[in-house]
Amino acid sequence: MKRTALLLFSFLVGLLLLLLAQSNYIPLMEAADMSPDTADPAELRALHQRYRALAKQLSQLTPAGPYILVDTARNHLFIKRRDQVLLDALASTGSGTILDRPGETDHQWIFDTPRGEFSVQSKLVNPVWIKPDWAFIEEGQEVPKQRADRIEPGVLGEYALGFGKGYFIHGTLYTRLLGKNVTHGCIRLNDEDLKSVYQLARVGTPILIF
Amino acid sequence: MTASFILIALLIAATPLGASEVSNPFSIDLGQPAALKEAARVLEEEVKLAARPQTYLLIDLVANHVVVKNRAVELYRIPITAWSAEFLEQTTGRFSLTRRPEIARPRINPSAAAAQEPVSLLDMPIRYDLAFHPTFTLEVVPPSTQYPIRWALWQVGFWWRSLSRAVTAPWSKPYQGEPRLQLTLSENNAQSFAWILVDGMALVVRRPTDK
Repeated sequence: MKRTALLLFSFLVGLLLLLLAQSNYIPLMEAADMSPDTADPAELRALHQRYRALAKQLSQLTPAGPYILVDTARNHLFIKRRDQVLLDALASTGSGTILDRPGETDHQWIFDTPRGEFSVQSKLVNPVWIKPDWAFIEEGQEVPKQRADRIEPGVLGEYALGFGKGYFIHGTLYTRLLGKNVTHGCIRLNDEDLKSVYQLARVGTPILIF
Repeated sequence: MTASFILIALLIAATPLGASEVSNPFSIDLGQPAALKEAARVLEEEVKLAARPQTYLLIDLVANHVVVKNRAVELYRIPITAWSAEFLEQTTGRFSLTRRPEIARPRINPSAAAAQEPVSLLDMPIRYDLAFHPTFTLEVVPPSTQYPIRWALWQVGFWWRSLSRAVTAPWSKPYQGEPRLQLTLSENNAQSFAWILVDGMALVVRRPTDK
């Protein structure tokens, strides 16, 4: 009886191992060298050349000049040239919160900093903030009809760099909030870092946001 | 003499930084044809991805990290604690993320006195499945040491699927299973990864060649 059970158990274990070997499962980081990796010298040379050519082609796609890098999770803005860091600044980026437009069920604002590739489209000195609708709604105020009632000077710092769809890199009065996700999508910096960004970036400088 | 110095200085200045990195970005053994082929395949995909304005992912199962890139620039690197895979040979080409993980976004109440707390990294999930097109599933799980029971259950599930496919394989050859990759990431790294993802994000996988 015992012997039969043992035989049956061995058979089942064997079957299991056989089936697993047939499957395409690769266990955790176990990649044993199973076959000798050989090629004739001509083939190897051709592979080398292809690999090197592709590597070169790829390296040529990287920005040639300085570019701005924004890490929205850790709230940092970098200016880099190739692998060299020219500036590492604490920033504030989008809060990710939602604001509903009163009376409209299908209209809402999501306050995210957009992610992807952008470029500096404008460079402004002493910018004024033209408050959008959400800024009034968020504060529980009426949205003004006159444009003049939306203008708020002195809140964006000395410079602003636009990167499209109303998003800017600008200054802030709330420097204690730098390093946090508190904005409506814009990227805030302190005065000193903002000045450096203004000086280093040109219209067309790439902005990579993730 | 002065002219030679100027010439040498110009040559040094013209040499791009990290030239070896450019010629061998994966730091592979150039005597290994399989590794070269795989690296060239990945580079070919990357060249296509980096030519367009988009952020993309490279899951490097040889160097064990996920690299977030845009225009071939490395934006962020996430170390992989461990990984396992099914039908890895089918993970060639580019994949596109169908949907990023759900985020519970706080809603602003204009009448409330206090400001609404923002979304933070800590709100991101640590365990999630990502579906890609063409069909490819990426499971992100925390390390076994942090959640031993849950981890064991996921492993059992993973093994069970492999086993059931293997059982059906002899009757349905050639079996074309759906590729599936399980990445074990630390809690922090899993949250960072979830944060970085956007709908439609492209993905390329670099596979080990010594299996």
